[in-house]
Amino acid sequence: MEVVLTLAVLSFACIGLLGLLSAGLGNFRTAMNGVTGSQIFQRVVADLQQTEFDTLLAGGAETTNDFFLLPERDFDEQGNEIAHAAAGSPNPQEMRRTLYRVRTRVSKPGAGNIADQSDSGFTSIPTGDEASRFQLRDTVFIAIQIANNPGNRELPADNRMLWSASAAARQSCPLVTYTAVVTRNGHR
Amino acid sequence: MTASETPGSASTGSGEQIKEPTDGLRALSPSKRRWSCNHRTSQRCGAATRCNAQAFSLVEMLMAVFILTLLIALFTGLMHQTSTMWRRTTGKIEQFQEARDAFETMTRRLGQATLNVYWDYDNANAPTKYERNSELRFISGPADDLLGPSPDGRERPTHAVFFQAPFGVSDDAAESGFPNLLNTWGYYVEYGDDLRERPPFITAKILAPRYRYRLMELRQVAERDSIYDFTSGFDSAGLARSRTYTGKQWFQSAVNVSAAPVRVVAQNVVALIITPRLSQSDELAVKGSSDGMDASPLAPNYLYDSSPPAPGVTDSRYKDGRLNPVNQLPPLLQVTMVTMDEASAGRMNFQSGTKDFFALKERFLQSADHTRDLLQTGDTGSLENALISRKANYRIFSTNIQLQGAKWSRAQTN
Repeated sequence: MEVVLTLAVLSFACIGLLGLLSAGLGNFRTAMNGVTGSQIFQRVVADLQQTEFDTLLAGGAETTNDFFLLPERDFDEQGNEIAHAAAGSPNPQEMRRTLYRVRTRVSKPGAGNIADQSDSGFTSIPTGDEASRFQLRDTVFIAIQIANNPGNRELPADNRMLWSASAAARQSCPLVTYTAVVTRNGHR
Repeated sequence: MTASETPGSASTGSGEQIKEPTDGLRALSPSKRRWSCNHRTSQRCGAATRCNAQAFSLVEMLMAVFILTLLIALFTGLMHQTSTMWRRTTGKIEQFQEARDAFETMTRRLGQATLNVYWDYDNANAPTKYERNSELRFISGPADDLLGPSPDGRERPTHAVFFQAPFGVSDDAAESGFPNLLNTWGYYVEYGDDLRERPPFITAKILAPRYRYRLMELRQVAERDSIYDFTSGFDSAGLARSRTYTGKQWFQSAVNVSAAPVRVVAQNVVALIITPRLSQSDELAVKGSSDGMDASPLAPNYLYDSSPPAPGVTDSRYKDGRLNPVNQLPPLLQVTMVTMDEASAGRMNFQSGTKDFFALKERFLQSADHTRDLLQTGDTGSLENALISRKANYRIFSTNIQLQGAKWSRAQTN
């Protein structure tokens, strides 16, 4: 009887310990994603801020009326960028090393002519009145998504050209989204 | 004499009161005492067989003990693994703390680099156009090319960077109230013993010298800043020296002397790789292809010098306004630092004759090979491969620094 009781107490303690281990590892992973994600974000934003504004606007691959996407970038667990030897087709070693995949969505600025206040251009300050819409000609809004996506699983995008957070959650693929603003430096 | 006849012992008669054993029982032999106890128990239980049925059998006990042993073994292993990982991680954090501090300090200081550029006549005597001009300099590239041979024969693997920034560092108390005084600053990696860092009385005989890779910092105080010795004023032909000076003495004269204002900022830094870059989109526009994103058109062989081109130098970058480095800071600096921990360095048994331990002379010569030389992503041997094969506990720090003073202009070709 004493042995059985001992086993019961021991098992109970072990279950508790195992639960703690799982929670600890989860927290550790979240913290690592946060730290490395911040480094990657800083790196990508520094890159965008130093880009010639017209080159930035011309760099979009996929595009909609409001947004365009810059090429996706890959990083390893320490935040080192994995530059693919052949663009768009990573070799197996590059694939194996990749942990974070980064999607950069850029909003299209307003029309060059300030008098052109059509609703086709992006605006961050919708007032409801078409005539008074303020279109930021020399400003773009950046959304940077960093997915902890080992193995580069396919992540579906929503209609705003962002990776779907719910789909990422279903695939146990932690996703962090940062935003930034980049403006033209100087006159056109 | 039997037990029943012993005074104070249990009676054999039916219905008799069972008395507690008295001191007389102690006089019995051990075998009889045992019988006496069993007999008494049997009396209480009612039947010996019923008592046996309520106890655990030997097999059950063995099974329980086996399971217990299995669980203990399992959890001992788990605890051992956890404690090993904890110890290693703690060691790693503490060990790399110095390297992380040094990396953050270095990148913060690099981000403050300045050239204080202004527009001036191309020739004050016979002006034809305006050009960028600056008395200050920024240079980065292979340390061997920049620094030349060390006076005490020390190795300087991978890259170095030298620049000016308003850090306000001065040894002169009279100048302590000027926080924006200009300093010449720089970083490079050096391999050698630690005799220079020790007090003179701890000689090599007392304590054997310790050979390590170290990150060095050049720290020229404002009152001894040498840049204006070379770039200020006019030369014999009446031309501004800032427009004609193309040398490297402005930092070589500070580093390659016996009492150089140089200090160790981190131990066990194996490599420092500095790649001046345009932004990715700008590089794509220059190269026209996104293949080989490692290659930096701004510094194909990592060398970037804001000095005017030396006479006779033909470099296509000077003819391309998008890439012309003259009197410009690079918009981005990709800084990578490879470090290992002290335990790994101790195991490698570096000696005075051990040079170029990681074949660093063959690596980081072309920016197009940056990833191949650094990371374990290709078939060829990288620095990471070399560290792994020597079982080193290493860490790679990497970041892109945005130089605040960089106002990249495409307006000028030289």
